[in-house]
Amino acid sequence: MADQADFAEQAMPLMDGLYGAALRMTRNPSDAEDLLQEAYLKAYRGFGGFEEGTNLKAWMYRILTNTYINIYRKKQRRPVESDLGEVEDLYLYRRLGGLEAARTGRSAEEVLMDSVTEAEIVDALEELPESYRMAVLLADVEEFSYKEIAEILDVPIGTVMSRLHRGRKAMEKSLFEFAKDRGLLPDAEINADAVPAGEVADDE
Amino acid sequence: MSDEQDYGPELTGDPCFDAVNVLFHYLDGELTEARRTTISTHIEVCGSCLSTYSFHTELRTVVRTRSITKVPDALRNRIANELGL
Repeated sequence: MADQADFAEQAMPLMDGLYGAALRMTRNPSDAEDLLQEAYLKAYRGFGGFEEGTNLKAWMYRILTNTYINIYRKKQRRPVESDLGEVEDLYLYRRLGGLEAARTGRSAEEVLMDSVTEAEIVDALEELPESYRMAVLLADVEEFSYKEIAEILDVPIGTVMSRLHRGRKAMEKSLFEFAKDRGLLPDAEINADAVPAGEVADDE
Repeated sequence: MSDEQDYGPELTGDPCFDAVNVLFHYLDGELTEARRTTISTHIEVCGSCLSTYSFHTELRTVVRTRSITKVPDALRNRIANELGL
């Protein structure tokens, strides 16, 4: 049995990650603060039941997730989620030029770094339907294993994998749309029929 | 991370197809050591697959690093106070 005194040492350092997760779940800083506070309170009260030697991080995320589902999802009265459409494999990579971009001296990674902002990453993640958003968040941001995510979300591993697969591809599509809208992609430049903004033709 | 259980799809023997097919499982650390080696051996000699893998590794890093959020000090203190820590 875990000692209450260990809680400060073990659970408090996880707060940054849990706050980020709470923000992505609620998509609202004020609700995220309440959710985080409520989850820590529950965890603290329940810490005696935490089995020492097992995964505290996963245990904390599970409490956060359950607290969110029990309180905030009801409050938000979210509509039934539509399913994600099919997005082809390597969607973003191919559109950022893939291997062709590398041959012209600018890798797809460089195009990615230049064309995607922090806000767009957050937006792309927050645009995902909830079940996909949670899976992608837990895997890509918090780096939990499939098995841990299955336990946190209380779904089979196969469901975790399919949510990750479709959620990530949908995110890639959003990121591409954002970058395209800002005119930051090589293709957009090539296809633009006018001289790039800020540049005037030299001769006359 | 890997518990030596492999959730990835079966390999077909077509190395480039397989590399793309298990891309997410590879990056997630969810392939067995043997299958991981099969894929990484191929990536080392295939420019096209190396380029694909580099991009997705970078994409993952970008997603992770750009969504890291720090809890506001006021909130951290409020929670610590409430718990009497």
